[in-house]
Amino acid sequence: MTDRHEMDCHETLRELERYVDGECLRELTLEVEAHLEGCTDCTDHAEFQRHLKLMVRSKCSGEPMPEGLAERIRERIRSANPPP
Amino acid sequence: MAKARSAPTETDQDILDRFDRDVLPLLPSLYGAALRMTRNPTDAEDLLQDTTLRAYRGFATFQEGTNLKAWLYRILTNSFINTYRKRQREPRTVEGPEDQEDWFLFDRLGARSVEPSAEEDVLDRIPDADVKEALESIPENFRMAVLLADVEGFSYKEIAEITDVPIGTVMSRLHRGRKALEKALFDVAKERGLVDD
Repeated sequence: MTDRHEMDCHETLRELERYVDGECLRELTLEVEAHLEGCTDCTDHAEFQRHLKLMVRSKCSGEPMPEGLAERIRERIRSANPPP
Repeated sequence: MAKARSAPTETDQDILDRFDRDVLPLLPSLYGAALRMTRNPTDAEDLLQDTTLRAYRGFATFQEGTNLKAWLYRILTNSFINTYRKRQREPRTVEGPEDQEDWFLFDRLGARSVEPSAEEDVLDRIPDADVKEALESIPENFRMAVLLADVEGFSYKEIAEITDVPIGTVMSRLHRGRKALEKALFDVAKERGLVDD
């Protein structure tokens, strides 16, 4: 048994953004997870936050580069002075 | 970042080879970030050209094994701030959705549905172009934080180094940026008829 602090919904929701970002220290992570285990409302919030983050990533990345840009960059660098 | 030359005997050709090997594979993600920053393909291409040239000039002193991706994004961010932002006539917005409540989108999408996960379904149905536009619509400092964290996957500490601000500022910008993005996404969802007014 540990003396871990039991978080309520208010405290959990306050930390949820950092938790979903994977930026909580271990002890706080465990406290959040302990709360989420018994709280469907906070779990829904966490899942939504995670889903939103993944959706933004998947829909805003993978932009195709203009054709020939990588080659133009290589050529420009080769024609530049060598680094000091 | 790194100070020491990575190999004392490295020739110019070695540097070019190392640049090709390590930097070229990162160009597509740098281009995507440049596009989200400048919001137009011509400026994004110029920004990427400038960034890679600056990176090449500093590359001899970049130490292998340190965080190359964060180093390149720092150069990209600085180049954007120093050059392209001046062209864009966008005021350097520091205000944001200060009064917008937390869980703005969750509360609104959730309130309109009876099915579990309906909130996520609405998000998935927003077209990619609209999500990009929503991200591009939010104030610059917030947009950069959301871009670096959620699209590029950098940690708070890395974003602090890339944008040269304290971690607390990163967290605040990220929080406010996400709130602004939620508002923009909700507006899009309404326009698209994905949720009721």
